Amino acid sequence: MSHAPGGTGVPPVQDEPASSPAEQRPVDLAHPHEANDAVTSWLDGLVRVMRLPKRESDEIREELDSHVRDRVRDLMLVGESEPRAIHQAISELGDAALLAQRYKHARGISQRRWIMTAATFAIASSALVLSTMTLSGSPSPHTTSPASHNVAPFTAFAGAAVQSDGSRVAKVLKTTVEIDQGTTYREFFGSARKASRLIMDNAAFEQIDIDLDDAMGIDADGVTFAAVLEMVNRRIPFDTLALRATDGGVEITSQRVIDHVLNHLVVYDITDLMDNGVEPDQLTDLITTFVEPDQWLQNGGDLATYQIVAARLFIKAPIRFLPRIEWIMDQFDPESHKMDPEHHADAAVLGSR
Amino acid sequence: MNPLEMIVLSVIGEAPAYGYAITKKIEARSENSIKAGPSVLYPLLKRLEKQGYVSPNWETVRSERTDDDSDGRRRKWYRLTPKGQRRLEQAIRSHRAHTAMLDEFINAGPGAAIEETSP
Repeated sequence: MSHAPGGTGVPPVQDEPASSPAEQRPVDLAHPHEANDAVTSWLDGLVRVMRLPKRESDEIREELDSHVRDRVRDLMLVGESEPRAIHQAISELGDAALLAQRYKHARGISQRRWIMTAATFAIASSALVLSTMTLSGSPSPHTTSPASHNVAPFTAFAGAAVQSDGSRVAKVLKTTVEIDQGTTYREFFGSARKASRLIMDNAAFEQIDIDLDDAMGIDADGVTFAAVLEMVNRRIPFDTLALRATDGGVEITSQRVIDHVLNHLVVYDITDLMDNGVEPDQLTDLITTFVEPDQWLQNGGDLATYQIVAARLFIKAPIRFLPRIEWIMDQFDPESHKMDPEHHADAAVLGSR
Repeated sequence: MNPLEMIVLSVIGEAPAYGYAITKKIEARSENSIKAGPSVLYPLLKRLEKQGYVSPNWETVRSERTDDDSDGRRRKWYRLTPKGQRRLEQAIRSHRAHTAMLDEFINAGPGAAIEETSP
């Protein structure tokens, strides 16, 4: 094999589409040089779509190049010709765009930024959102208060037994804390006890690799609990800590846990949106592209999903997604999917099924 | 922790390894029933590295064959960190507890009979 390792000596970047180079440009098995070029071309394509710092993309390139060489050597040992072996090795790498997306996800860039945005949103609005939810474990449907959003789904079926009191969460977030470099996470979270009884989800802390007895290494004097929590969350690559009011106190756990607990089935009437020319597929594409894209079942996630049946958009998703979903729908017709009392009878049917 | 993550950490925990060797070990030990293809394995290794569960080390490949062009090529080796070791132990404990709980249900029902008649 003669293709350049380590990201050195690669051909100039070309403006060709980067996804699936192996599929777009079949290897000419009669010409080994063509096959070697295919490896370089594939890696070029990957580097282009990854858009990572050069040093990092060079390392990824070198690692994959090394993998391909090892794989080709093994295939040739069992009798494959070099061009065929190279072709198979590239095929096994799969789609460059998909691999780039997985790398980005693994690095936590887009997801981290998005989670931070969501976390900030969650912290800032948790008092408002939680204070407007009154949920229970009974199998009857509930409606969300129109005061909680500009618009609200016209029915919402609560699948979790949660009594929420956002005022307790707000009190904790506003608590003033004084910490120094040696303050442990346990002491910091414990400081919220002056505002509310606390339930600490130790398993969640372990999952995100926070040892409660470690020093935080943060100096803060007279700032809010929320401000320090935001700093802590910046250190967590794949999740965030969040608060929710629960019976008699405030639970500190991971955002992911809360998303699973406060996961609701809601239904929107999109008749008017469709009358205004909005195609259902366009609407769901917008939602699953701009609202926590990684979390939708349709994108490979496990937190949210949707179905459209007869001009009704059914969404099962964490409650914190809903304001953003509704904002998207507002862009077409703010009035079209507002809570409609006439449909409460339908809600009862929905809830009993 | 998902099963592949646990498998990869276990393999690296036995001895430091590079990506392709990890793939081969997983295939061999699972008798080809588990395929850790490069498109899944390398992003996973990147994540484990970011999380501090594994630490990388580049080593130059040396070949005894003169016709081999491996000379100068580098491989990225991964070794389990103490943090990764703790995470793996925690995952193993959790997995065993979960399996034991399932066994309680399965063995109380038709599971025991199935076990007896299975090859």
